[in-house]
Amino acid sequence: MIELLNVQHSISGNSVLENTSLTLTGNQVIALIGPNGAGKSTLLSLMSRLLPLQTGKILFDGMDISTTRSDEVARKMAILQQSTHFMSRLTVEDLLIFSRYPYHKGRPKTEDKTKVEDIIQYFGLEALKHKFIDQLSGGQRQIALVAMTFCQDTDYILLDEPLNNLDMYHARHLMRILKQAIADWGKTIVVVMHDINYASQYADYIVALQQGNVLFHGQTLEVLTESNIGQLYNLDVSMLTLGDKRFCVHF
Amino acid sequence: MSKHALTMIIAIWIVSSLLFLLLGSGGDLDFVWRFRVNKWLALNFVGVSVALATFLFQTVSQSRVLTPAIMGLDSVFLLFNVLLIGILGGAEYAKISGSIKFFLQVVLMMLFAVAVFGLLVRRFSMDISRLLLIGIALGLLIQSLVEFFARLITPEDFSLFQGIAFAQFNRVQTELLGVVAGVLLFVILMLWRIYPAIDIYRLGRNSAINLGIPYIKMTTNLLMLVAILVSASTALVGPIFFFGLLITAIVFALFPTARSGSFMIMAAFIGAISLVGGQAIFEHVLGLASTLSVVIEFIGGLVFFMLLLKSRKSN
Repeated sequence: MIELLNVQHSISGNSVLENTSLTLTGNQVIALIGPNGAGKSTLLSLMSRLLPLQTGKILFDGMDISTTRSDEVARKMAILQQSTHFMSRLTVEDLLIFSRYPYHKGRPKTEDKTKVEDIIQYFGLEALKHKFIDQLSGGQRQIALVAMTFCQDTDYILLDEPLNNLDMYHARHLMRILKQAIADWGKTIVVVMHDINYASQYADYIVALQQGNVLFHGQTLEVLTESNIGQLYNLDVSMLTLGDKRFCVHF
Repeated sequence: MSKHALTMIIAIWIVSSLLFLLLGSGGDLDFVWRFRVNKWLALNFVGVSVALATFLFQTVSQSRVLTPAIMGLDSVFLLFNVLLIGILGGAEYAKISGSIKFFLQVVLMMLFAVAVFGLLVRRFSMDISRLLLIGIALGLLIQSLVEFFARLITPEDFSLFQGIAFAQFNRVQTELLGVVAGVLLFVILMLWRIYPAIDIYRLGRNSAINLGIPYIKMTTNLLMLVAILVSASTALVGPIFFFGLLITAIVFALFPTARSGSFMIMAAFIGAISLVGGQAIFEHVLGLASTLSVVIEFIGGLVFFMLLLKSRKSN
């Protein structure tokens, strides 16, 4: 369970996130949606302690991220930011071993290596494991970076727009892995998304932000309505239902 | 990094050390012991500290074209000395023991590094370029103060100051060797403890915090280590600008995938080899017809421009 209590954030006097309190239950994909500049990335950065909290508290299963030791938090929650660049030249395997740092502190043990092998198989990265990150295509790179957060073996995973620049194949591959991981390992995954249709297909729960406020939140099927989406993006949209799936037409 | 490469590097280091110690000595070991061993030690210490300082500074600044000289630490060193000369006069200045001056310098440089950069990191921890710009501006300010004070002192004092202001590999301050050895040993022990964390730190701020590195604390600690190392090399031979860049560029070209631990070992050896081997050639073969510091800084400067042009192309 993720709890946000009275979290608020402003940058040089301008409020980017109004006073927010939210309780999110675990074992599901939670999509953060909203127009550009709504405060989604800020919220994610606050939840992952990349931005220090200005007010309030954030708890993961009762663990307060601002008072708990950083390396302990690193075993509870992992984050992938939008643009991730590395100074050193690293292979996919190196990167996965590095992501075990909260456990091995620089001296990898057999269990770390086993975990890395498991993750390589789970994500289908066998052919790429000795390749350097800068040799990979955008899609492969993104999958490898998400694999890194999984290798960190945390209950909670936060992903900031992981579908950015991915083609249909890689986007579907990635979302299916995320869904599968919830069934296999009971993870809780918070994803910032722009495509309502992806959110509709893969998210169990939706949190919609607008100008730093939570406009609505709830089960996907309940909250993804024409009036909600129309209000959120200030657009006329229609929702189509096809079988048990719901599509948003916004063209 | 392969064992093979390390063996090669150590072999080259031994050969250049032997050349430096024995060349032209006529096998007179007493002479070697009295006149050359101290200098050999000093050159090694400088090579190692410049190499490590540059690597650590590039780690903190997330850049491969910067050297610690940009922090203005050497200007602090010059300001300290010009003030001391100006206030006490050249004769009194020369009487102060080297180790006392050294300790004052180390303390001043660390205070400067922590006061300026430590506080800035706390306030602007996301923005390393702003930090560097402030560093450059402060460095220039102090540099101008140094020039101002240098105009106020007498010509005799000024020529004494000139001797301090340029890197000198021919006349090293050998009386400081013991202190510097201790300081270097301390830094190396620290690095031995934290080098796996440096690998994680080099993944960048967000990834480092994500993996549980106390980022601000570690940045401050790394900057302190840089300040200590720069003080050590500056005290022995004077300010050095591009030499460190030359070393890290060589190591990166030879071992592009080296992890921090191996990188630092390689850089330390290559730093020592360049100075010991270079000085052997300049002193014993060319008979001091030219100065090593000029050549090394010249090549380092060229490498700097090459790196700049290359990084512009790849962007």
